[in-house]
Amino acid sequence: MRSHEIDYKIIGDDMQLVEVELDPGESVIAEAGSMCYMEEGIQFETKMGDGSNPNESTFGKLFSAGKRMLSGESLFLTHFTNRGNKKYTVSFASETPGKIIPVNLPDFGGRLLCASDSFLCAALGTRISIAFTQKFGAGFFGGAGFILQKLEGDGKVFITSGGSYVKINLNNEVLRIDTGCIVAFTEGLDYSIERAGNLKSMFFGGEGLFLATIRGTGTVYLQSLPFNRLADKVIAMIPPKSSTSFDSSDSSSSD
Amino acid sequence: MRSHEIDYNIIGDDLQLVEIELDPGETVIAEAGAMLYIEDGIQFESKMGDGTEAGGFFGKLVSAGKRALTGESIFLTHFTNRGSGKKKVAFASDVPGKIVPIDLNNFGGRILCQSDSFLCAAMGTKINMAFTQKLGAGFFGGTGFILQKLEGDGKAFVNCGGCIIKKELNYETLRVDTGCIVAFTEGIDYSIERAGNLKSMFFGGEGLFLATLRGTGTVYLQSLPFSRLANKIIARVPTS
Repeated sequence: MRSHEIDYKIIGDDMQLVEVELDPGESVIAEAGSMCYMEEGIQFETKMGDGSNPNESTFGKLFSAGKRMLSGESLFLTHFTNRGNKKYTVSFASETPGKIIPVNLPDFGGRLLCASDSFLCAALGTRISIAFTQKFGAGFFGGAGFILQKLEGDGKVFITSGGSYVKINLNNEVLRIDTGCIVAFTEGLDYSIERAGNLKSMFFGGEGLFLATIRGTGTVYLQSLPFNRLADKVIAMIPPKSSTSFDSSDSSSSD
Repeated sequence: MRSHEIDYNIIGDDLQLVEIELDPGETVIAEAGAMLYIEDGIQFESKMGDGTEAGGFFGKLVSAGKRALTGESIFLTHFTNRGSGKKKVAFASDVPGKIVPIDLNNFGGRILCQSDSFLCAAMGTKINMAFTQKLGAGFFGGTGFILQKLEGDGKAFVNCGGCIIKKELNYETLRVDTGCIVAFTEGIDYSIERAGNLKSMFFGGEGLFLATLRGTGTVYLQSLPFSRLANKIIARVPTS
């Protein structure tokens, strides 16, 4: 199906929000929990799947929802529809500090692969499915998880980056990337995971054991502050449980 | 009392701090723990209450107790310029976001804000709690059912998580994820309503309830409520 043509406005500098303007009857689909505010005419409904195939059977829906769950995302997407009689807006933001990248899918041949937690919202009609990377090893060792999300359609999609983002056009070139820094890339690029440096840098360098290698011709979006880096830094600050409390819980369980 | 007239300078793009310039004798009151640096002549003292109460110790205790109910510290810190020239003191939020300077005169001397968004204000600003009209409203709202009311004729600074969105409502309705509310003017009716159908409530992740803001006035909203960021981090904490 053809995607709804949505207008939008991105607000903020480094921590952004997108306000999507819907004409009557238009819909936008979004990751659960990312809505900030909406005007009166907007109604929402949680649905299994992206609604891109209205004739899909329940089983088909279940199947595609299950695939979404594999990528670590919620089974459900929220559909926001303008049921009013004039234009109304609804807004979305990421749960992490960063920018929003508006992508017009036709600019990339109608298809984009993105890291599983970078999808924010898209015009109704966009198909969201999982894509395995070519080599199984690739994702298994990559911090980004070995499953990517594939966005397909002829409308606009919005993806989020942590921190600022960099857009790099590769022309038969190779780029090696910390796996967490990948936001999205176009089809035609080959993605694999390779061992990084020598043994010393693997163990002492802190750059992770493996780096993602992207090869070929196309566009790559990268982020400066992968959420995992920020979260792990916060989690490292959590004081360890004291040995005394550990002992007491131990004894109570043996009772 | 009339509020002290303070000058200020906001520094930063999206993760901001506010530098406040005090004339000799001027005071700014701030949330405990928000201060970053102070120049030479500035002295500070933790006090119960905002310093506007004329009453005795008991009056202070009552208003401090009310502040404790909103989940904030009972104490506010008073920063006073005891020097002879202009001196500066700076404050920032402990979450990434912007600072919104509010001239209370522009809003009829009164604004309601979410309990953890107050940062600092000119001495003379009254900080109170305000119950939302309907008790149910706050009880189910993620932001807690108590708001802070800032009253006065000076400047107050509130912080938001992420970017700030200012909306002017004119007999309009806006439905908002409760965590995204920073502040709104009186005259706007705040209530909590059940969101969508049962399926969205349980599977949608949009929360069980949405705040509904109705009426005429100004609303400040934030893009990155701290609770969203914190919950996302907590979800990554290894369980053991």
